[in-house]
Amino acid sequence: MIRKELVAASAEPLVLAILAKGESYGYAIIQDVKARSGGKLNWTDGMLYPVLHRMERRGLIKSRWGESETGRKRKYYSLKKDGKAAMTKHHEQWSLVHAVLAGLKKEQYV
Amino acid sequence: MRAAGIVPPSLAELENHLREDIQRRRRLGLEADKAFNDAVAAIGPAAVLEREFQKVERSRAVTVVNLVGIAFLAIAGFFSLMIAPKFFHPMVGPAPRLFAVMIVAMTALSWRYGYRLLPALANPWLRAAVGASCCVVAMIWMRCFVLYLLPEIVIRIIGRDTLLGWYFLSFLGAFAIAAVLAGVGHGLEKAARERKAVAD
Repeated sequence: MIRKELVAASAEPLVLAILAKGESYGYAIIQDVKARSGGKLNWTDGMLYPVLHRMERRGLIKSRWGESETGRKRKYYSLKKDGKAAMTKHHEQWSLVHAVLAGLKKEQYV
Repeated sequence: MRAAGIVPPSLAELENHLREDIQRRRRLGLEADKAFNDAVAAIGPAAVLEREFQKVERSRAVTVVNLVGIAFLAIAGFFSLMIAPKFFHPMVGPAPRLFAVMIVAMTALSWRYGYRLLPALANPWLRAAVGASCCVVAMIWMRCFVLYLLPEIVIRIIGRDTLLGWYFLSFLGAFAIAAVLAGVGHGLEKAARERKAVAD
């Protein structure tokens, strides 16, 4: 299982990356992350919503109330321009961390 | 969850989430009770969620103060525009016109760059409280200006008829002070954002 600090830090870039594919909603975002990580990135489901609301407040994403397949109200989120820029920045930073770690790991086997 | 203080729109979102999770678990073959209990456990403890939602709500308090500040600015701007034609009156000399331009420029600059002079308060509640207090002071200031300063000092010293420009300039100055005070909340938020950006 991945440490909770890392799970928390990865929440925003993951949400941005998922919404970059198109509009989505809380439950679908969580299921997408769980499926892609093979269940190793395990969010406390309810914690996603304050994250989404905070991102919306910061102007990274926007929301609208729509209808689900069953006719119930459902809140959909989509990426805004600032969100795309933030996603690029996150990607650069996470790539850098990954590159440094990969480089250090490679040196251990030289 | 409602008892925990989570606001209704967020509650509706959490309820939808819970319903969808229960349905998914039921489709996987779980009994209704088990599906419900597992979904509730997965959504997380109400106290923890309340804490997280409150953090967002606190930020909204700051937004409200900012909006009130902007409303003040809009009102002050509107009345300033109403008296702006007075400065084109032939009786108005160049000095009041120059001061009028300076006052407007200083107000605009205070909204644009004033945050650099303000402390970066980390606590959003404190930022909201200071911003709201400044809005209240701005209201009191306008009331004091109209009730006491205008009749007692401005009209007596400046004189209404002889120096038209100075009379309206005093209004512009009063609006500017109110606008600057109302901009403190906006400035504090900007100062905090700048500090956070530097820290990041």
